Amino acid sequence: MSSRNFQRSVTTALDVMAIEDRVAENLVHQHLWTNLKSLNIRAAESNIVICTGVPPAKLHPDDYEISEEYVLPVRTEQNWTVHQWACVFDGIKEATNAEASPRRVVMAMVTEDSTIVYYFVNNGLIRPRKN
Amino acid sequence: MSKEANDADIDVDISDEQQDWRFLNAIDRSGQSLPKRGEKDYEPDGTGLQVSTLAESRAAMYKALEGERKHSSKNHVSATWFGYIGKARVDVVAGPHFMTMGKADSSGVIWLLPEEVIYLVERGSMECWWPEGAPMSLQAVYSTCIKAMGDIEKLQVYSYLRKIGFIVQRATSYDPDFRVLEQRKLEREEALINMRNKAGYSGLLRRSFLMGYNNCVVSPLSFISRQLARRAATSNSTLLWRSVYRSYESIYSELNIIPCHRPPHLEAEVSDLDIEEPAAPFRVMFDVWKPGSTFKKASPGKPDYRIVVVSARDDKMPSLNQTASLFASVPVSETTKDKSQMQRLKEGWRTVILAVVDAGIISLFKLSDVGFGDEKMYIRPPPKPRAPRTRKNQSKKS
Amino acid sequence: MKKSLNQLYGSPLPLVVRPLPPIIPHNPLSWIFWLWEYWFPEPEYNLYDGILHALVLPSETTFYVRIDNGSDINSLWSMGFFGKGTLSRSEPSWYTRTARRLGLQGGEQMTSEEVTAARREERKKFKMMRAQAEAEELARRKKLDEMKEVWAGQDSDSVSTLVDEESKLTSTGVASEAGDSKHELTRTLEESQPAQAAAVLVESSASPEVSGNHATVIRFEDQSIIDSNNKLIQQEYLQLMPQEAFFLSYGLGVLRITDHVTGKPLTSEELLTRFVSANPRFLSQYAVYHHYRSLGWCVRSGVKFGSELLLYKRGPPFSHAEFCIRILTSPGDEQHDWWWNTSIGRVVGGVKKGLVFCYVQGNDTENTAKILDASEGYSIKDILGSYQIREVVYRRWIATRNRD
Repeated sequence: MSSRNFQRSVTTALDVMAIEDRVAENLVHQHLWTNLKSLNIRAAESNIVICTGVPPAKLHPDDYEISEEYVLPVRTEQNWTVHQWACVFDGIKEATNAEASPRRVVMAMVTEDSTIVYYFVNNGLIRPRKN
Repeated sequence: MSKEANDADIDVDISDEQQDWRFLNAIDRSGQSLPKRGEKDYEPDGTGLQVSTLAESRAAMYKALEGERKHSSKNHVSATWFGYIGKARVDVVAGPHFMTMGKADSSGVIWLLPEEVIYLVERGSMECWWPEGAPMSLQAVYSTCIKAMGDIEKLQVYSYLRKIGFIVQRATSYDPDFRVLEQRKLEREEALINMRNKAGYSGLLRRSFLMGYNNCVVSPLSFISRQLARRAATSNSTLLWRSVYRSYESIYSELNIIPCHRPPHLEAEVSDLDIEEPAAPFRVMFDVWKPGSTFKKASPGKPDYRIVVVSARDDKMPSLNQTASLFASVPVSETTKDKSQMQRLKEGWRTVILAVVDAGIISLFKLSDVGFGDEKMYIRPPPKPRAPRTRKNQSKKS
Repeated sequence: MKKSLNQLYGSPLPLVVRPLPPIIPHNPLSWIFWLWEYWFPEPEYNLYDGILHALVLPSETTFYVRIDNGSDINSLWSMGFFGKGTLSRSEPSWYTRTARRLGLQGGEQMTSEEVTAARREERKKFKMMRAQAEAEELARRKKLDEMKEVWAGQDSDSVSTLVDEESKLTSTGVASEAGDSKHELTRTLEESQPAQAAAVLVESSASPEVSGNHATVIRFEDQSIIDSNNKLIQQEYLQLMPQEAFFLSYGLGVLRITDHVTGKPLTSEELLTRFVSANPRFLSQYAVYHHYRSLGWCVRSGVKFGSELLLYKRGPPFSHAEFCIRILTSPGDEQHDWWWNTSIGRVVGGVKKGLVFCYVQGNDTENTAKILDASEGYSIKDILGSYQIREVVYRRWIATRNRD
């Protein structure tokens, strides 16, 4: 599909806040994550910035332990295709020199009123939650 | 009150779930009361208990299906299908079905619509014959009746509602040649005359002035101040421009600049009949009465619900115009005006039920014609008078 | 003494209202006073300050307005519940929360986020107990299977015991004893009112002794937000979405918005130009926002419930939102398929709110062009007045529950 959503604009004015900074700030100060870093990945022939960090507690009750999470900042107005998501998973694997792509990525949807809605995007099928 | 309390679980529909057939066994044994629903297991756990429960449930289903279906010859109905008029003529009338089904012609012969034919044949109450004198197979009944109906969705909705006890009639307005909005105009005129006879003109005129798409009533006095306001507003500074406001109400009325729809609150106020006739599929198909109602075929009275049938795969949500035509084709609910503000906003002044059928699965939606513009949230109901608190009461508490 | 909600949030809008003094017929002085007040009222006017910022994303930009001044934030929040704290769920409470977490000055009060956290903790405990009950039930069933195997080759007496045992578990119909006991536990737990328990938790953690016992952890990330006087530095501000900002500045005229780049205050036209250029649907979305605000609703973003707006009767501290508003432009994007409709209906129904499809009729393209062109003058009021709104409520209807 179109790579419109992935292309970073060349001229990023100084006065504006980039969406990934918004997400990182929110994770550190509202949700108390630590060790926030940004990770540049190549996906679908464009560059994407992903935030990585460690949450203060397990994000999902079925998680084995607390581990580093990958967070993809997006906006409400964007449309994401399965292909684009596949590229994100592959891109993370490549950028981290990992053996496999992560089992999930957290999608951080930044909205006009500053709400950030977080969603799990799992790489493949997962067992549904029991309760 | 209890209706409000019911609101919480009103969206739970047990028919969404696979039924446990052991219910039938329990009814057999205990007679009167229905058994409690148990907890559901999350997944197969490999235990014998689960396996035997499943087997028991399956056995109960087979037992239920095996049951012999008997018909008394006393209630035996027979009819002949006439393809060129798309109806079946009832030759032998028996049983209670004809209290709510079929329509007699001038000579007293009862005719059944295709949905009624299938329903009766399906439940084993009637046998249907070809005009040539040969019996129709079940397959033949299905294929001819579905063809006569146009599609299978309407049939599915009809038999679903009948099976759970509703009285269902084909709406007269469903006939594409029936000008339902013309009919509604006559009804409105009648309501208007009744109202004039009852209350005189004044109340009606006041209300009709407020109707339709207009934002505010302009009194001569406020007109002058509005003219001033207008001058300020067209210079695009800000919408509110006075330096002092005497009440929040005056602020809100000055903010009110977006025209909005006002649904009629009474039959006599209906003003939106000069629009397009509702067209298929967004046209009322069935009139429905609750199971307990004292229904008479000759004078059925107003139905409790009006059902529109659409196919989930072929039809999308109705557009605004289609929805408007649909609402215009049904009368104003007589009970809405006595409801609380919040209920008026949730249930609306005119309602239709949309039955959306996806390959046999029926989802029903209630569409309500509501008017937020009529309900001003800034006007609060007067505070309840406080019960006088005496010392005696307080000391009792502590 | 604790103030009541009505005292705290008495005004529905951030405007001062000056009622006219009463006229006492037999007291001519009161007439003069009335006339004086009528003709020469002393204007009472608060002007708040906001700054227009842009949030960029590759290839698109959106605008929002930021309020930094503490008392302005307070007024805009408490009078009509405008904006959202960037690091809070709604009301900006980050400072209090964080000062409390770090044991610094300014964290004396309880915030709504902490109440929610306590409630979630209670819910988690309940789920753990339920999981335990389920594990016990599974163990019971397995034991029964084992017994069955052991007894399989034994005398008929034991077998009849087994049959008894098993019938206890299964034959009482669908609600077996085991199921019953589990059900009982679930019910007791569910009835134990997490809200009340949460209140107890909140109270105990609010008392200084308890929070004092709690070891304060200062993360590496926290070091940069504490100044040399050991005071917490504010990281949060109030963010207004474009509709809110335009309503406050153009609609009510109480917000002065300065452009972050030029540092100059923006006129209503300049502000509108920016909003419509970033969002081609801004005008119809604003018309809807304005419509509900002008009827006295407290209107906030509905993004968490898959809709554009939420309507509160008075505001979040008073009650949950009553309605979710989904905006459809007519003609245009009004004819969605039924799967779309059901998804939204289920989400909104699940949180027990009413689902309102709000149809807006108006020409965004033409109006936006008029605003961007600006060569011929236009009236914002007339443009907004060219939109028409009609609401339709959709609700799932369950036939079996509407039979009597």
